[in-house]
Amino acid sequence: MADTFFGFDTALDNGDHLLPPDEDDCVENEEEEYDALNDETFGGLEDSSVLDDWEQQHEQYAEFAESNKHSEQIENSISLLMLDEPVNEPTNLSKNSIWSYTPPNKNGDIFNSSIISSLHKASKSFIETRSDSNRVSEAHKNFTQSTPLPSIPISPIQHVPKQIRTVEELEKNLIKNSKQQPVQKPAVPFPHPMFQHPLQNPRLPPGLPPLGIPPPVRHMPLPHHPIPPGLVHMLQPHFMHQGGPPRHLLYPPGNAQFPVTHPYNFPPPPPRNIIPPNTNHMNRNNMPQRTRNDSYKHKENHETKDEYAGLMTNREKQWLLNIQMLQLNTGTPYFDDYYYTVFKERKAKNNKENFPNERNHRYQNNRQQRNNDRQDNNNTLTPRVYTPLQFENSLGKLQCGSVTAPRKIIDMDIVTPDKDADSPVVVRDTRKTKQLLLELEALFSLLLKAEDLRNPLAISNMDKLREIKQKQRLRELDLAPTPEQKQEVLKLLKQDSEPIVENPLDYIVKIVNALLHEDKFSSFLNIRKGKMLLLRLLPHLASENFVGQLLDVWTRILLSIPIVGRRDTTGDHILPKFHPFFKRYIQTCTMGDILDIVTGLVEVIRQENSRSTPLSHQGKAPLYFVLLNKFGVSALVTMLIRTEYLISSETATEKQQNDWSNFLVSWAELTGVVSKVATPLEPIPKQIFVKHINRFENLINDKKSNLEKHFVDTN
Amino acid sequence: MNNTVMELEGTAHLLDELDKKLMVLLRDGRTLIGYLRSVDQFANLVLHRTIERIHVGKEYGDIPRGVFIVRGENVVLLGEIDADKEAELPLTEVSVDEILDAQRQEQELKQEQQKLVAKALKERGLHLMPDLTHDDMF
Repeated sequence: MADTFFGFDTALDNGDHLLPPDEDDCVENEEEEYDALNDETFGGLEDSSVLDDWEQQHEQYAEFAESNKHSEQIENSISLLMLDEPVNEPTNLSKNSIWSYTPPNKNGDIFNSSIISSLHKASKSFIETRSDSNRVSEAHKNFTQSTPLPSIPISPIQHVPKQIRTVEELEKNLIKNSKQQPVQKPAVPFPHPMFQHPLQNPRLPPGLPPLGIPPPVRHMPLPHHPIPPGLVHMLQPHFMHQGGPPRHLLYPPGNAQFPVTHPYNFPPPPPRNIIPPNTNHMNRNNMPQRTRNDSYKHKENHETKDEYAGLMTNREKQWLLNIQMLQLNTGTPYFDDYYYTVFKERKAKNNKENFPNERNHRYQNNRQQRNNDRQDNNNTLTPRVYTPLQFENSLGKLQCGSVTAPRKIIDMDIVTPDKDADSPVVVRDTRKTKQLLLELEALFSLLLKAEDLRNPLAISNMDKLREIKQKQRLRELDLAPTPEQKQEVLKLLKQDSEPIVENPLDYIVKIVNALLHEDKFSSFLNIRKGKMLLLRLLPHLASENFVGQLLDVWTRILLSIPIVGRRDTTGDHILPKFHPFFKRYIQTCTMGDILDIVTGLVEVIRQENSRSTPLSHQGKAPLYFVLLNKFGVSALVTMLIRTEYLISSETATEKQQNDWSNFLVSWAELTGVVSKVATPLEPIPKQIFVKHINRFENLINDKKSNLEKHFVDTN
Repeated sequence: MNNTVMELEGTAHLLDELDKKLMVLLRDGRTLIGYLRSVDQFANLVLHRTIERIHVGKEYGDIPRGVFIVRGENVVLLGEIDADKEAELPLTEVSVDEILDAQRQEQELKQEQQKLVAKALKERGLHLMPDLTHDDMF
């Protein structure tokens, strides 16, 4: 270390007690003690050849350039080897990879051991695998015939390391192993492969230097220069045939401006922009010459698109799908994903019916089931409730999140509003329909609950839900700080543990009562949903519990036909679906029941307020409208058949028979009056009709013929 | 291991739209047209060779934008572009400057109308909040 620095004392004490030296003194000192051309500034002169012998250096570079031709073969082989690796590891830039960046050493040695060793391996395997080394010899031949290579400026190398000789050895081995077969390929002009790719690759693989990594350089004096452009050209079509990625290899290696691309980089677009014919709008700005013919362009289009296509590998797609499937996994799909679950159930049922053999199992195993196999689910998988990590004495919550464990930003609880506060019900005509719909909705949900009590899928899901709740309560129990809270949680746990036993019957009763209550029946039936509700409800009413109510229900249905019938005939066509149920019911009816039904139909409702009865309905009995409706006439027919049976089995009294015959008269009369009598779903069999009619003398001919015409089976 | 990607049933995914030319409508009202290259679980999109298309009346203008990464929550909808129909658009293409001008004019017109409406409402004692942006509509 210098004792002085520009004349100042470099001792550690500040020297404040000393006078600062004069300016003149400084300069003097500087000149005396500081050698401007010292070794520190300009570097050591240990290797004088480096500095002085520029001529020698130039020769070296020239050799270098020439040797690069033959080493391209090595390069190609290496790239081919790299291509054999799995494609879905595009960023495999391990240290040992030949393409990893190695910073130049102090003495400019770029070819460190890692590259050399990998080259070793590569070339060895190349020797083993490549059998078409006839190219080697042919290319070798061609080279000797070609014109001497122009010198190309290359990156400066201070000196050639000894290891480079290994390449020469390799090359010698290659040639030794090659078979000397003459090939009739014309000599290829040199410049062709070199300048074919004036590549300016903007996308550099990570870690590569802007300068190219020149492949290993041959040692200086080399008697022959094998592999030349000819080989390069030969390999090219091979790559073109492969059609894609490997094109980057053929860049002139010695050129400092050409960055060597990573083999997995998607190659840059070809120098001439290819415009797909459809995106003329998009690429108008950068539209170069369209000199190619269409077929070539099309091929290039296809290739251009393919080059960018597949950026998402299958693995990544699978990963994404797995995430989505994961998010769909709940323990209770019947509740969370009702429509999909039911759809799957129905499909499975259909398949079982259609293909009752083992084939189903195979198909099922191929599809990944959304909630896994249910058996697996029960045993191993339970929905994992993630409680984010909480740190003591910290002010905030965890910041990092993941797909399965999102971070909790806001603490939000669902607060259910007070159920006691009911808004005053304002019944107005405009709101009536909405009100009805709401009520129907409520009744429907009751019905669905009742049905679920007997549905195995729903039952299993319910059990599962209970399990989940229990586990949650247990977790809460652990977290509960005070004993009181613990008690509360325990209480809740007990509540949740008890399986709720419910009787669907209770629900059904509720529904029926609600339906029959308050004269809303007809209004319900006026809405499609009401009819569907009734249709779905009727099977549940088949038991003995509802006998009395059933009569009421059917009476009201028939009585509502004047209001409901027209809409149903023109639109919904749901009423005829009631017929099987009605038939079944009627089989259980007594004469009295039937008479109850029919007397209601004949009564003409005279009401003072014209608002409820439209003009067309004034003065007409419900029977009038019943005759216009398909379901109505089918019901009448059914009743007639039943009555005939009852009378013939002598369970009907005189009075009842009289009443019935009166009804028949009204029926027959109206049939003549009504404009368009509907056709029953099942006409009266002729014998039954004849038998029945003959019981009653008051049915004179024209009435009889009326009835016969419309309702009797004429076969 | 089968090479094909497993089918997803009963739910939707964007994987079938990969490498297709799509039109994406963003929440701020922009329309982007580009090739969908990649998606993720949040429906973030990577659009390639994207152009932003501005429509004003019967005219439109394209601004080339390159590669876009769109955050999933900002997408209103996306749809595949029919190549044939794209070639025969009933609209006329104009230059970028023209369309930007037209857009500005349209915006000014809207603002003026809004001002009038706000004024009229004020006179009747109602206060209109004109701060609703296009985004707030969704």
